[in-house]
Amino acid sequence: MKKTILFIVLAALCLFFRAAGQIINKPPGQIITGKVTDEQGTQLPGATVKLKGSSIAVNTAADGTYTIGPVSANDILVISFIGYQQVEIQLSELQKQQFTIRLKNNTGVLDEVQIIAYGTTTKRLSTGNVSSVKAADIEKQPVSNPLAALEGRVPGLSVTQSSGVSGAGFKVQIRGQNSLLQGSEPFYIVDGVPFVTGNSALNQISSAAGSSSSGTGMSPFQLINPSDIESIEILKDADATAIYGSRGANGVILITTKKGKPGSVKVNLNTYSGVSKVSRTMDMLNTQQYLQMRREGFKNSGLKPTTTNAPDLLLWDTTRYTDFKKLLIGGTAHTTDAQLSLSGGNINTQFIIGGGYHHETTVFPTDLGDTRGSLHLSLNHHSTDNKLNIAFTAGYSTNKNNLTTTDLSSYINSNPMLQLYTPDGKLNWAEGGKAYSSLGILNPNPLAFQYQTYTGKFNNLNSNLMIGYHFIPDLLLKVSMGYNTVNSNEVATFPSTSINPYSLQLPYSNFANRTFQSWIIEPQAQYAKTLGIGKLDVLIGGTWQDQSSNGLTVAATNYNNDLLLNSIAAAGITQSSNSYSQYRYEGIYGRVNYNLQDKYIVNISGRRDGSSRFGPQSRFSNFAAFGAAWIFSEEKFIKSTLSNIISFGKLRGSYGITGNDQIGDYQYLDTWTPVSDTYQGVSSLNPTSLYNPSFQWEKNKKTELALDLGFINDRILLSAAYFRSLSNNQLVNYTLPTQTGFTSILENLNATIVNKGWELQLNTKNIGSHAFTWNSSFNLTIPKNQLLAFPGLESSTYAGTYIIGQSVSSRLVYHYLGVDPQTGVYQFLDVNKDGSYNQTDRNTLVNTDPKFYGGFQNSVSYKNFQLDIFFEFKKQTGVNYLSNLAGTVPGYKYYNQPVIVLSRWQNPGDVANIQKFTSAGGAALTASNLYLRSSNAVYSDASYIRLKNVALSYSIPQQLLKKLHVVNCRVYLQGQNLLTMTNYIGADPENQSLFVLPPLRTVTAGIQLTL
Amino acid sequence: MKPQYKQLLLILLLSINMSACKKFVDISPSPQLIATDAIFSDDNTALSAVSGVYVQMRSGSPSFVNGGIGIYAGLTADEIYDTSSSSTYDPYYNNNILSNDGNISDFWSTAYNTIYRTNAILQGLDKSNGLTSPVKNQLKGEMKVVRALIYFYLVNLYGDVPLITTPDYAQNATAERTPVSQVYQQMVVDLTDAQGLLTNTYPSTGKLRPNRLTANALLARIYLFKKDWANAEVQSSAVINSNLYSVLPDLNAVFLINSGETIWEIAPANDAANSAEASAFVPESPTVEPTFAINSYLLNLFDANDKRKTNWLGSNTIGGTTYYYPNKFKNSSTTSITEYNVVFRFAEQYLIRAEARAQQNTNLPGAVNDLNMIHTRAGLSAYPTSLLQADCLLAVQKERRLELFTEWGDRWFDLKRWGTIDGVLGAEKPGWKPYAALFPLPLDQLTYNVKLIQNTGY
Repeated sequence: MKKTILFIVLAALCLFFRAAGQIINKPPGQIITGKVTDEQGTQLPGATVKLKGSSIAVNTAADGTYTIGPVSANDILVISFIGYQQVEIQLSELQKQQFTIRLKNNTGVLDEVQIIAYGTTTKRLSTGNVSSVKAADIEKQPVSNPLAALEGRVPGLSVTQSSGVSGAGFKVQIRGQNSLLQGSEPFYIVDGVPFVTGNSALNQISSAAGSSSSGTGMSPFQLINPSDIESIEILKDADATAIYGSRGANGVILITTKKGKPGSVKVNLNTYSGVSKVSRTMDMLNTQQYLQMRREGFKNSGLKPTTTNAPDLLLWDTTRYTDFKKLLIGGTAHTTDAQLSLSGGNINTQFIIGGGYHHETTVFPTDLGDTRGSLHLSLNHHSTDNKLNIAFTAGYSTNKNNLTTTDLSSYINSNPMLQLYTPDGKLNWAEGGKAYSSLGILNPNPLAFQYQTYTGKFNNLNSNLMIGYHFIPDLLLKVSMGYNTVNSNEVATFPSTSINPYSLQLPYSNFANRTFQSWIIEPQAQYAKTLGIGKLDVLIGGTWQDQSSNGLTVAATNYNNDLLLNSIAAAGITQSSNSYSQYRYEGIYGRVNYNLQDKYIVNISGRRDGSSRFGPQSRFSNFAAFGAAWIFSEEKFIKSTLSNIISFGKLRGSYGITGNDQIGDYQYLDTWTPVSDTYQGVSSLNPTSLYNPSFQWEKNKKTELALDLGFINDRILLSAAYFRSLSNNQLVNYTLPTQTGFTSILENLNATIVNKGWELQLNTKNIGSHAFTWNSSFNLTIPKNQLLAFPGLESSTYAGTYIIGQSVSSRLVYHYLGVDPQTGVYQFLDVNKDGSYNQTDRNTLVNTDPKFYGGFQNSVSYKNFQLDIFFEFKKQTGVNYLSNLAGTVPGYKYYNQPVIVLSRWQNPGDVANIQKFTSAGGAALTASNLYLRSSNAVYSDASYIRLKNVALSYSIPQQLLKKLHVVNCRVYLQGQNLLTMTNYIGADPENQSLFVLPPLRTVTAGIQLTL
Repeated sequence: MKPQYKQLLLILLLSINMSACKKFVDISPSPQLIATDAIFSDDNTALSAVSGVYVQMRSGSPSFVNGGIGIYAGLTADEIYDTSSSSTYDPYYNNNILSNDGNISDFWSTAYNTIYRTNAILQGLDKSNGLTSPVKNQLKGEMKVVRALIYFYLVNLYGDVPLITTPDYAQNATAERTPVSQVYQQMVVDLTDAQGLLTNTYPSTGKLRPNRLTANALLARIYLFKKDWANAEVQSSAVINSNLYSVLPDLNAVFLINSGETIWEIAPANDAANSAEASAFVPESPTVEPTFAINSYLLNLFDANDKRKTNWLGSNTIGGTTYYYPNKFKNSSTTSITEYNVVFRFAEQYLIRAEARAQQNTNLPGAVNDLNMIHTRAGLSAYPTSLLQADCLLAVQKERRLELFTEWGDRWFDLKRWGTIDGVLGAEKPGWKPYAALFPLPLDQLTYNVKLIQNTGY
């Protein structure tokens, strides 16, 4: 270890002295003065004018002028400015132009700045696979969560919305599932600081957004204002991610916020408002249809309804009808968003300060909602001699969610006859002398939520300070220091008015607090030097990170007064528990990039990491990657013959090893945890979990080969990548049969999973006249997941779950044969013909991986109008509504059903897709409850094409604005999830559950004003 | 300029000195976690680990040994029915339980979690040498009683079950079902050990943790189930002759906290709640149907003068129909605490000895006397000591049904061990199928351990 460091440092030292030696040889010559403008002749302050091959560089002043020297006639000046094409010009040429340089707008996508791990590059020169989603695309979407803005836009990135409830989470996966069971969450970095919560749920108390344990819950990205984001980079291959070492295996997502630009102070105001509705759900039976179903069930079961087995038919008011779908999720949600920012600065110092407000309500019958306030600040300074660089960013946001305690979608199958209120206006819980709950009805009064409250307050502070100093022009030493804290404060109250009196439960409340804290220090040395005929870039750095979480939950019960539910002291019984965990992480890393004539580029990166999550003997590990690119369009044989057609051609590839330490803390220790319960006053201990002292780092080998092509002056850009990532020695929570006392153990699993596939990105400028432009962008991902090897699978607990050679999401299920026309009962293939359905009869394979997915964007502008239309598509098999019906069998016990069940079997000879209604135990109930959900009948096509986003805007003409002293004014209409084309049988094909709120359809109107 | 660079590089070099780094990631464990070694080096923390076992046993409402068996095995037998025809209870009452039933899987995982704890604690105690000897023996004895108790209910509900006696997950994960007889053998070993480790004095206030006689009581029942009549008599006699317990004349006092009839009881929720049975069986008010009502077969068996009918059954009349419910545990209040979960009570020991003696046919009058202890307490006239063996056995069977109804599935288990289940339930329940005498193994467990073979019929 020490040797490696020593070597790196020595190498860096050598470079220093070489560099230092060159400064001395300053050529004598003249001082020149000139001006830098854009194509229209507008002066450009802040552009860099550099004498090629020397350290002499200056920035243009506010009027675009520069003074540089001494220079001689043969010198070459390099003029660069973000957003413009770099120009290299010989002094003699420059003289002919009276020292005025016109920079062309950098419209070429290939030369846009591309943020990568610890640095920047361009699409043209990058050796790795990095995709970006820019502010321009984020701003067009009326979403409150930045993850929502990524859906369908990046090849290789799968983003799935778990629920339509405001603040609910998103499942994010880069290039497939690498781990058998553990989530394959990417590593998230916001402005250089690892996001302390990652993508795990913020809430500890179950809320409408879901419970924290189900992998849904409140999204921590709700704490990041999408309007503050400049770009989101998705790092996918080994070349791009290996420098993050142990945390790069599942890809990396970099979020970079906006920075100020030089120029006079601008005030930017952007506000919109809109409405949302449920997009796609299922209609439920009305009372008449429900009664028909129940009566038919009794007839089919040969039973006579009695007050015991059919209180709904005999004791309830059969004329009552509530359309719970309409009542509970049929409302309209309102969204209001306002953003105000101030930005500006001079050449040396730029700033932006912005505030945001976002409020959205829900489709549930309540006015409550989710509100976020946020503040963003960025300060950049560099000294006139360009030696000192300081950048400071800070973001603070506070989010308050007081939606219902549960997602009301889960109640839409409530019995349509339920009596909701007693005659005196209280909630009703019984009818005909029987408590609804005693009938096994789990949510006897869906309106109880009205009296229950949930308040979650979440705050996020993220700040980063970077100080850099060019000791010599080629060497930058810098240190980046970041601090991130996220805290939560939740209270849920359940007053007596909301509690089923038959449950004998007294009023209760739940309280939870948690604070996550993280600091990171990363010193770095960057050395850039022209070496021979090529350019050398060297980076070495280190990371020290400390992360901790500290939580407290209190379950307070047995209140005797509803008014005191917010007080813990007033509770009859309290059970509290606190949690504390610490995680420390360190690494040293380096990267060497050598670029020969912008034609041949090699990039080598490596990292050595240590993590406190492993036992002392396996705490450190090494990771590395190699990437190379050949820009063959720069070769003479292409330039001379094909340059009219092929304007850009690059072949690149990478190979490397990344890792994963996404496991809980302290798992290698054999410990017991105190719990709040006591026995005879003696405190009690629970075994924390099964423990394994010897698990090791998970490693993931990634290979990528890609071809990037540009045709007709880059009007058509095509990028095709083939990737293959192999993960073995996976660190998983290995499922155990409960006879071991637990359900899982953390282990390295000797199974090999490969994720491979193709990614395609096509950008075209279809029409590009002065008044009318039309650009298109299309991306497609064809993934394939395969379990390559699993030694000992047969004797493992996964013998009945996984199949070698198939995807890890493939399962063996019963083969569904449809409804038996004679008996009216679901039939399945009895493979071994033994008269019963068991494990050996499961021989039909289902695979829920997407076959392909992607997006298609079209942007048209005509004069002052701009229209963007974005479609997202996915081809996949998913679980349909039948999987929801398995537990609540049509005709059996008081639950309502979707209208679709009316196409059931009724008489012998009927050919139907729904079996006969049944009201008692027996073959039909067993078939539905036990076998149907384990058969391929519950899997069907869940492919969709979704009109994800439409944005139409109109910019008020400049002549008019000038009179009003307004720089820019734009009015716009935006829509999200407007239309879904699918053959899916069920609610929404994205979250695939009838009982979870589907993604909402949103339409907004807004105005953006720049003063 | 140069020296400055050198200094800075030196700083950089120092800052990434990895020997300092090793310490950086070497963090101390969370203050919330206590290492296993530390637990078993101290009497108090070892007791806390054991406390955790009782806390786990009384968790859930209701679950496995926290009232669950009494309800679910009461439904599968002919003791109670669910008045509202609920989808949770119907499969049990109708004896058509599906293998993916939630309670089936809950019972299984709860039972094995308790077993894991007892195994881990027993291993920790064996390895430890920091504990005082009396504490170590007492805790070991308690854990062996608990382990035997859980296995007793597992084999009687599921039949053959994996016999797990160590915390080694790698080995346990693929363990096959062990024949019932072998599991019984382990229970006998555990309880015999426990008798050597425990004393007759309860280790804490009341009867909330097992003493030596608890081991005798369970062993008496196990020998009875194994038809080892002689040993059943020996073990029950040990309890009866201890003079620590009595059959209380007042039926309403039998289930009160620390009653003279209780051998072992577990305090629910932080010792601040009443029994799981009361909250399951006692209706919220006199105007609602009880969730579970006494089956007419059991109801009709009570003699009109049987005090147990008046004292241990409650009734609500709704719309002209009278529903009787189990009222042994009477208090479902959340404020005044008078009853705990009773695991063993003394009356059972007389019935065990009566049956054991009758089966041996060497001391029939003794058998009848034991039987009369219980029979006459209910206000009924004594059986004559001249009773013939067959009649005595029938009388014991009837007495068990009337005395022990809805107590931890006793009736369900008796029907099975007497071999009368198909005859009795076949007549009482339409659609009875003999395979239903065993619960199914949880469906998902068959996937996770392919060596588990499902019970026939499921």
